[in-house]
Amino acid sequence: MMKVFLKLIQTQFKELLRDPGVLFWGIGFPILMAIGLSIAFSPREEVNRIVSINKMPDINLSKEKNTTLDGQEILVYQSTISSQSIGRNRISFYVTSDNLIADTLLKRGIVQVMIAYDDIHNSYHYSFDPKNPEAQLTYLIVRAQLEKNGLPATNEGVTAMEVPGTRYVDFLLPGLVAMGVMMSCMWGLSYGLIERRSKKLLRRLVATPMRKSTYLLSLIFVRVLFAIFEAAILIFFAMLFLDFKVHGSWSLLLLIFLAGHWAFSGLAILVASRTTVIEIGTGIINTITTPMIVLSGVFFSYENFPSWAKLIIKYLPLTVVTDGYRRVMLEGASVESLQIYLVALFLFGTITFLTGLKIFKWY
Amino acid sequence: MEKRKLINAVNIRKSFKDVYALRGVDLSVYAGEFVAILGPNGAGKTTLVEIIEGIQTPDSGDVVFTSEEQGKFEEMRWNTHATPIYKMMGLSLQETHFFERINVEETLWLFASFYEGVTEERILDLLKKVGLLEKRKAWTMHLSGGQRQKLALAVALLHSPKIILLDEPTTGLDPHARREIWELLFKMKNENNSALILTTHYMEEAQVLCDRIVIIDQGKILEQGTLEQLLKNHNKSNLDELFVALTGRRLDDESFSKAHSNSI
Repeated sequence: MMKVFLKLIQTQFKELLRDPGVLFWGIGFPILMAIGLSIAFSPREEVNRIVSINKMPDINLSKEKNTTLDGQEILVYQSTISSQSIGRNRISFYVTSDNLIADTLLKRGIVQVMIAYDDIHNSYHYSFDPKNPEAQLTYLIVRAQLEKNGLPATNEGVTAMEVPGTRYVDFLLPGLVAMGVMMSCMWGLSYGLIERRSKKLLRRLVATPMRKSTYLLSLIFVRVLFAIFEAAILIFFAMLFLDFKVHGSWSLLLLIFLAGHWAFSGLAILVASRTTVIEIGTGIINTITTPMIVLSGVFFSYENFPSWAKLIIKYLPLTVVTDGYRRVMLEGASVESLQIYLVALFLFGTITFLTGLKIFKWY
Repeated sequence: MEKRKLINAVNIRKSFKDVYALRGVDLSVYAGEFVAILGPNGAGKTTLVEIIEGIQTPDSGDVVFTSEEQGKFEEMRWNTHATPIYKMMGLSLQETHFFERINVEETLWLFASFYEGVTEERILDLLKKVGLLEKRKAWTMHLSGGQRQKLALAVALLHSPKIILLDEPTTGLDPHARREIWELLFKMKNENNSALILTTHYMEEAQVLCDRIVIIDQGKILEQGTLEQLLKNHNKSNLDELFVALTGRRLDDESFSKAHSNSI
């Protein structure tokens, strides 16, 4: 009994270790993931916290390079606070007297706390979403910093942001919809195709007069209908129970949704184009989706990443899709302002789809 | 009967890494002709059939199909005429899987959509002939190996193809079911003048069904001809003896193990 058991274990180990793909995705990839996570979550020398403020106090802050939002220049001041308990925190004050810009900064997750100056009492009023722990911590640190400089909070002190459109849940929902589209495509299409290839169903299907592209497009069509249904449930649920509001037009939302779906469908076809081994397929899908979930601003803004990282993150498909959905849902963006997103997603989807189709292994 | 070459495979060579699967095989099949390819496991039968089916590409050699349209003949090759070739071809692969949660009838309708002129009557008739009429509402995941085999055959014959390629179509079927399949194929031959290439482990199947027998081993055709010619040329009394004389092995041993690994 034990002999058989040990022999079986030995045989299965041999089989696994003799497949270089399984070896990489089973052992190499988790090691790479561990390295990635240790880099991402190792104690950072400095945490960047960004707040918007409508009038800069006359305190000793360093003036930094200005930033821009949709072409509008914003003044940036910085201050650094260090303590044993909270570590080193760099606070960036984005100075804007325009409420609309401050709102947009908040909706895009760039700032977590809005500070308004009360010139009658020479004090500051803070607004943030108390359900967002990062925003709470930022508020406590910034308030302590300003009070240390003799700038108290107003009597009311704090306004909890519960106005639909400015809460953390409003920031989160478009990200979740975008992530849902990505997961639906990558697992529904890629995994499904790899499984069908491994079971030799694809081989039987293409040994017919049916066009290969027709089969792939039919899969995408079915998946998009499901994705629309899934997203609709999420959005309507949020509208019904969380007072979520879609500020842009529904037709534009559908358009950007379809563009995002097309982009991920193309990527899914490309990912599924070669491998017949399910373990390898799963590894590739995880390699593509996991970093994007962490980096692309689904759960928190990517603005806190270093500038060099932001240059890459901005062009990740999930970032483009998430940003596009947020623009329509939260900011009511026009079709003109979304053109770049629509074109980028459509081109990305088309190029990846055609490349995938070209190199697709049907047998 | 019309004597027209439907398939002409010339000097087909194929290797997988260092293993030679086919070493210069020539095979022609005429309209209305039934050809059985016999050979031990690993002889190159499936590779040859899959090259003719367009599923594998040969390292060298040429496969030419001839179609007839209103008395006009046209030569077709996989790289230029894949769609018209598949229109005239029906095939049953080894280890066919279908969509698991689609029932038998729906599977046939799906494949029917790839061809023109497949009627409901044809589908019901096929279901009856392959013995799946009672199972027509069953999901394919609930079919036994033998029933899946029958479904694969029904899919292959759905559009009354001019060329039928069957890779071990009756392996694992009981003798009664096998005979029913043979009858169906004979009918296709008489009504449609279809050509058939079939690989099989059953000597009886090759003898009963096919006009010509091709014996293949180690990637080469050892002998081909009608049963009578082959037996006469080698002075043997039956196909079994001839097979042993040519390959040094008995086909029965292999067919037994194969059939029992694919139980109904």
